[in-house]
Amino acid sequence: MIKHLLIHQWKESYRSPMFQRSLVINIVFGLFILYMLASFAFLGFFIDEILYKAFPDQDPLLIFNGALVYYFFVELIMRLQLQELPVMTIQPYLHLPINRKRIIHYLLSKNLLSFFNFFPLLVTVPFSVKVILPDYGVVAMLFWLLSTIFISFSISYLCSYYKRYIIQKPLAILFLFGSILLIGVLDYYNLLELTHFSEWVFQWAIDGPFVMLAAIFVTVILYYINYKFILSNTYMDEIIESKKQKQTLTNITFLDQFGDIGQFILIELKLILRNKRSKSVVTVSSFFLFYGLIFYTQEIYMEGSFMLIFVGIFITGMFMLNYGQFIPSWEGGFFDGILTRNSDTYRYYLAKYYLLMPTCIVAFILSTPYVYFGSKVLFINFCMLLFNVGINSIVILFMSTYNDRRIDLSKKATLNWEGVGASQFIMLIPALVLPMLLFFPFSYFDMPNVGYAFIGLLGFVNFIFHKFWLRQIANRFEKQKYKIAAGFRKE
Amino acid sequence: MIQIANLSKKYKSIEAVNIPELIIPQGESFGLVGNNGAGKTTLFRMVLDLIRPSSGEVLMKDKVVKGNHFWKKFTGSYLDEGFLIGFLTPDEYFDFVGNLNGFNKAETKERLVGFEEIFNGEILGSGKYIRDLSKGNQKKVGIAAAMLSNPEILILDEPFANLDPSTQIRLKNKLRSFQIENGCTLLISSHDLNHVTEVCERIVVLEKGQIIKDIKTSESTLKDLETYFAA
Repeated sequence: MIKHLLIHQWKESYRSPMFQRSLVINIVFGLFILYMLASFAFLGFFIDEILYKAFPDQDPLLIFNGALVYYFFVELIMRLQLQELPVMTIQPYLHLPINRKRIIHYLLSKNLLSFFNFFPLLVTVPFSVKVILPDYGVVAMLFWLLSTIFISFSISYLCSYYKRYIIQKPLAILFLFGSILLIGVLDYYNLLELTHFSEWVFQWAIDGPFVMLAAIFVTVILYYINYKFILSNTYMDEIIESKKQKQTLTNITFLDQFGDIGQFILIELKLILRNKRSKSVVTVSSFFLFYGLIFYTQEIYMEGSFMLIFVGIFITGMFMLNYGQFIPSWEGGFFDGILTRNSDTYRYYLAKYYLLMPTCIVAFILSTPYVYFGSKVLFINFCMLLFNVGINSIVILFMSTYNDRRIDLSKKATLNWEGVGASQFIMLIPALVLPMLLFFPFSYFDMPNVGYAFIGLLGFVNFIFHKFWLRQIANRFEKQKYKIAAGFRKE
Repeated sequence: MIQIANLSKKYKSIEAVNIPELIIPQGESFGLVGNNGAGKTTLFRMVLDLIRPSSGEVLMKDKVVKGNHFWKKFTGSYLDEGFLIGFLTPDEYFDFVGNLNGFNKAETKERLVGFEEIFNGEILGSGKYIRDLSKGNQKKVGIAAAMLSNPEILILDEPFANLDPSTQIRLKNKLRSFQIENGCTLLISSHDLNHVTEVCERIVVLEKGQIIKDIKTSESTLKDLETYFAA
């Protein structure tokens, strides 16, 4: 029984769209993971020396122990964000002759095999071998290590329980974040000495088995609570999230005056705001408005010029690039409907352009307070706005004719690689490298301002011809549409 | 109205559809039957320019469909959920489709009155998103949207599947009266031999992508078809 479940599990992950991508992307993704793992292992091996260098008069172990509590808070927040609720995957098994309880036990133990549980070991194992083992011996080391592992497990079960709870009572999330914030504030003003508390607990974990046993006990209790909760909630209608959603954008009449283009834009705005994945693009892109604060506050960047071009492009174009790169994958679920509706491709792309372009302008307007760091910043951002509007949006729309991987709008956004294909990497080249190349000669002859203006002018000239380019894109789309539609039908 | 000439679609070595000639005159109600994998949906998709034929072409009003848009003005279609925009409410979706065909909201509403019987009070004003509707109700939305503009050509893939018995009967009557009143060319596929023989004047049986039978519906048609499929 369990064997079958494990095999299905393996097939589920192996056959997931993540591995069905092209080889190149898998390699890029693999390298990225390897790099992360290597960085953490490296950190684990040298953290004692790093701590010793940074705080020469303090005991590295004490500092490490003191920091652990913050780590666990971060872990808690990360898990709330990233950890998947395994509930949905049990639906296909509920009607089969399998004992319900066994499925739940399996589900809950599966939690322990999550990637997040192994990640910290890369740091804690080398650290404990290098620092705790020589001073306290192997038993103490194991006590300490197991304490950290089981605290992680308890956090994992806490999150599972909490996430299920939130589905029924959405406001509970505020309570949790409120308490984390409160603890943070109290700690910041030294009303609560979290560092000392953490030092004390983890020193205790080394001195005896009590902390370890407590952590194991808490893990078991939380496991049991989860078990009970799921057992009483394994009925289909209760698993599925409550369907009542608040409807946004129900009464927008402003766009009515723009005919079919206005309607297309309205539908797309609804798409963006009513679906998880696309909504998070909006959130992430708005964070990028603050991107400038990292660079504008530092002289080294303000004197240079290449970096400011990047910053300008990201600030004014983040949403356009981020959302635009997945056109038309967003509409993969109803693409056949688009192809048969009473409209033509050129108007489809015209609507896309009139959706993307204003977002750049809005981002630019929102970024005008950066003038505080000098009018140069405003000038660069304005030139990059023109470049985004005139060239980058066109490039993104052109590349869209290569996207044939559909996006499931209802899935969450974090760590979701759905819809990513080679074109997402290729389109970065013109979007980011082109302005650099254009700027290079001006930088060489020390005329940066002329260079920015040149880039902006080029964007503006291209903007004048945008209808011409959109027609070319529409023609290309006509040739590609069968391939795109076939790709979308594949799920 | 619709002419099909030397139309074929091959997937690797398998021939999904191969039709040397098929002419559907204006105002005909045309039924397509065949087992799973016979090529019904593939044929409809080629008629609607959704997949590229391996050879041959489809003409509507003597003009080539492929790569053109003229036919979308007078063709309504619903094949599957891939035609529906899941994150809209049915009302929003109808308004959108109505708008594309040049109706304002009031006109769209008026055109939907005739569908109340089929909707059974569960579609309009329900406030649910289309993606949260049941399969049957999704189908009702798709079919109504396809018929909204009184198209000259109406193409529906298995319109009766997933519908409750009452709605099946109501839809059958609706399709018949719609076809007669508008002189519309109706193309439907169905697994329900009963319904399809009642609605359609002409039945074509497809097997492995080829036309096996092409018959004018008569009293004996249902029996003939049943004998054919029982074999």
